[in-house]
Amino acid sequence: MGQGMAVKQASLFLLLLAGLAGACGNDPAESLGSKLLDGVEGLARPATQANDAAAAGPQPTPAAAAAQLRVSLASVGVPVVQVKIATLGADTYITPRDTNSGTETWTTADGSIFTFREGVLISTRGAVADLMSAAAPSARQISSASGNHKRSYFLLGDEDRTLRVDMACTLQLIGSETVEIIGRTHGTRHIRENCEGAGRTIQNEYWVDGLVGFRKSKQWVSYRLGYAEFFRVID
Amino acid sequence: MPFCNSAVDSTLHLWETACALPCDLDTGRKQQSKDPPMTRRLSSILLMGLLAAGPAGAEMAPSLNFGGVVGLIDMPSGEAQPDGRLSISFSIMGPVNRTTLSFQISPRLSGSFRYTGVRKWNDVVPNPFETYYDRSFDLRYLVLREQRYLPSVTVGLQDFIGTGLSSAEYIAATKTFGGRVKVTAGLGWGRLGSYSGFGGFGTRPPVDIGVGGKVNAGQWFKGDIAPFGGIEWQATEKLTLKAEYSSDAYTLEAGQRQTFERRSPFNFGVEYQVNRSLRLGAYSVYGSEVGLAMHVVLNPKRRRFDGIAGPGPASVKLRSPAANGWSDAWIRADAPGGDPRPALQTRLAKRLAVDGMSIESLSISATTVQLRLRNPSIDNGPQAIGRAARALSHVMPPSVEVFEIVPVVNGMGISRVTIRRSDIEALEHAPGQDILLRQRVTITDAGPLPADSQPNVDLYPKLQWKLGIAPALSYFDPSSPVRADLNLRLSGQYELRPGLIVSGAATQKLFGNRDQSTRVSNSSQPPVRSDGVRYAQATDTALDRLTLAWYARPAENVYSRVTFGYLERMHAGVSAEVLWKPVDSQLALGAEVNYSRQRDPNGGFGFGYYDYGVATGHLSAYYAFGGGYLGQLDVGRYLAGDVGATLSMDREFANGWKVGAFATLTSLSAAEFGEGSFDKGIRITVPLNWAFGSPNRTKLSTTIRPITRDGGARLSVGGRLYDTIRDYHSGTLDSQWGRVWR
Repeated sequence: MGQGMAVKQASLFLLLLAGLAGACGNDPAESLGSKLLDGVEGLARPATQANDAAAAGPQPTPAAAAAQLRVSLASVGVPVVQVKIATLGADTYITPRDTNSGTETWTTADGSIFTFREGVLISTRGAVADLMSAAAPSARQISSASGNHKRSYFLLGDEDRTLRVDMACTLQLIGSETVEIIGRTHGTRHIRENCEGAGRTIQNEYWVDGLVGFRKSKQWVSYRLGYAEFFRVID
Repeated sequence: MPFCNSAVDSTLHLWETACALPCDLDTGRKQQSKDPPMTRRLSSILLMGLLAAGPAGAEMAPSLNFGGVVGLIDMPSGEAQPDGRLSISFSIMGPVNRTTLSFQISPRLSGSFRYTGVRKWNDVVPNPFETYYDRSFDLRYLVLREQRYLPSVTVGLQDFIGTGLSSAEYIAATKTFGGRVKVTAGLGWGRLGSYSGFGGFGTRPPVDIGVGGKVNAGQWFKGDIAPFGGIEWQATEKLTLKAEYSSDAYTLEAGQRQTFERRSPFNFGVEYQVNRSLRLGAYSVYGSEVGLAMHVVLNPKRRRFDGIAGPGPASVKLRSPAANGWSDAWIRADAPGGDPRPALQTRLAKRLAVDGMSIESLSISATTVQLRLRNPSIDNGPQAIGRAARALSHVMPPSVEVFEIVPVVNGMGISRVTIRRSDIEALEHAPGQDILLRQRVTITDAGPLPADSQPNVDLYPKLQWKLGIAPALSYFDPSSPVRADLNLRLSGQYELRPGLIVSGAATQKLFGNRDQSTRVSNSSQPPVRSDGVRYAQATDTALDRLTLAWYARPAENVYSRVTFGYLERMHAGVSAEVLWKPVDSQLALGAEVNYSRQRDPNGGFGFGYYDYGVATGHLSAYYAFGGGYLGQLDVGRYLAGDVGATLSMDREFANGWKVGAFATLTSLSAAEFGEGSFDKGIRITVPLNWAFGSPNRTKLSTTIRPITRDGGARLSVGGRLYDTIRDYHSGTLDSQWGRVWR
């Protein structure tokens, strides 16, 4: 100091050291600081106890494990959809929370939510790089497997500003496919939605099961997250 | 849990210490941090940069040189960083080491602050110091962006304010070929014109160091010109090879002082892009030395995962068209079951608590509810308001159509955000919902508290406290450029009633060496700031501050504050401030008057050591230029009794990042001020929500002054009004509105 200026700063080492030493207080605002990326971690964790149950005890055969997992999921008593997001390493389950004007909001156990309009993803919350809203085709339009339409994705961009991504899309019938979801097979029609815009192409895919609509789908969420896959396990 | 013996629940806060100094106990409010005892932390930013690192980008992005500016190895190039980038560079080149902080102020303008050390300084020329340290500032302007046939061109000023020993000017042009090769050619003056130069414009005047800190404009682009250039080849996505021809003769370092031998003008190196933020380099320089560099480049605009973590919101609850509650019978005086409002308030409080928010007060009529909201948790005002609106939709009877949400900070209503319930019902899942909602929302002055407002009786009095570790570093002491202390810090605040707050903080040094500095003040002025070493040496236990503050809204668009007590580590007294700022105005005007006495260095309550009291005060004008650029002009009297003005410019990002610079000129002459000639510095605020992607309001602030003297020094009072209220005025709310439905 004196001639030489003293600037009071924390060093990387001391910061870490001090962090390990800990602190205490009663300020509720502070505790949020320790919830680092809870959303990501929460989403990456299986949301039901079913997996834990399945993992316990002697190792069963894959078929038996799937049957056991399915029984556990069915015991929840509500529809269950498995969600996988490769970029987050997430493999979890969602259950219906509420409906509003033709939309269905589903949630993980830790509060991340996905909102669909007849199975078409229109928003996420708590997936970190969220899809804030979307203008999307109807399930009927997708099921027709033909025609052109426009899509708009509204993402959370730099500095929390809404980033609008407009795309022009076509639908394509891939064919009939049997999909297996946790030990059960389903006959479906595989439909692909090819979209182009904002300098990129994306492909949303839908496996339509006449009983429930989309039995399986792979839908684009955002630039950072990429695609989320949805598997309808329990109807 | 170390240091914690309270019955109150406590949690291990890994990042608590990052807050302990800059945030005090006030996690939600920005800190004034222009004064040395309150200045802080660069390396935590570095930490966050490393944490925020993602995969390396595929494109051939601009890279940095030894001096931490866009360039080759030791030479600059013609490019600029992407807008808003902040970089911290460390480099070693033989006996020369440099630490540089650079900021891309706008898409074309960038600035740098550099701390350079040259070892072996006294090997052949006698000098008390083995290592010579110098501080310098650079400015660069991108004149031309690269186009198909044209290179990018940059004009730069190096060390344009300071001692001028490293001063240079340059024009550099860089062209990319095939996406993998860049070629740079440039012309340098001054230091960059010192090797194989040819005739230029006139004679370059000699460096006039004096007390430093002068803008050496008389030298610019004068004297010999020398060419420099080089090539970069991005061999793989992560690996870049560089070669350059340097026009820097290192006349002083390699010539007069012989700290190294400059055998060749050619430098070669390889750089490895570890991830999106971190780049490492190794070099062979000047035919004799090895060079190493580490660059951390941060993007304040983008969080680690773009968005923000944390659970999703509750849905908007729709009203049933057939519900009887559409009538206002529920709130009439003769309503069955009595007054429904206490029960509604209880239910609402529970819903807000899910998001860490609480009710300050609630006013309910048949059609309108006004919620005065306390939000200590969510970093983003619109997100807090959106969640509060959803909570109201669950609790309010159907006839309540208008939601007025008034964010409250320090007991003051900051603005009134009026939302129609029908709109949030209709727009919850609409494409582009945020923009649609903003068109239908009005933001006005908070107005007076409604007469029938019911206060939250559970909120006051409220005690919050915290015990944590507060590490501290001192920089720029030539005998030891970095000194460190580790302190234990107890802080707390007691809110007596809305707007009336007692707060304090005390520290106990655990260990460290900041008191071992011998750099005592040689100031010719009252040592109002420059006696920091004496303060560090006098005690290990200190009362940092103990104040009573009163905040109020005396009139529409007007805010006031009076703070009394031990305001900061060096001064105590009374500070009164009034601020005029309409909620949608880019302009704000303020006035502050203070009387303070300098505290004893021993950290106690006394004033006898200096016996110095002074009345200070400023008139301030603040202007938000748009795009996040903020200007501030303060005119008035400073702590040493000098009179003058401070001009500050900051760039603020919507997530709370803020990077700025300030300079103060006062009635003190350069000689009276001493080394540095006048007070100046840069300041950085980093929100933890950016670093960790979690929605909390904690921010870290650092002010870096090349030197702290006594001229142009202001009191460091917590809770100054402008930064206290801006979060909920329409400028900031609009810039953050994308998260209203988050």
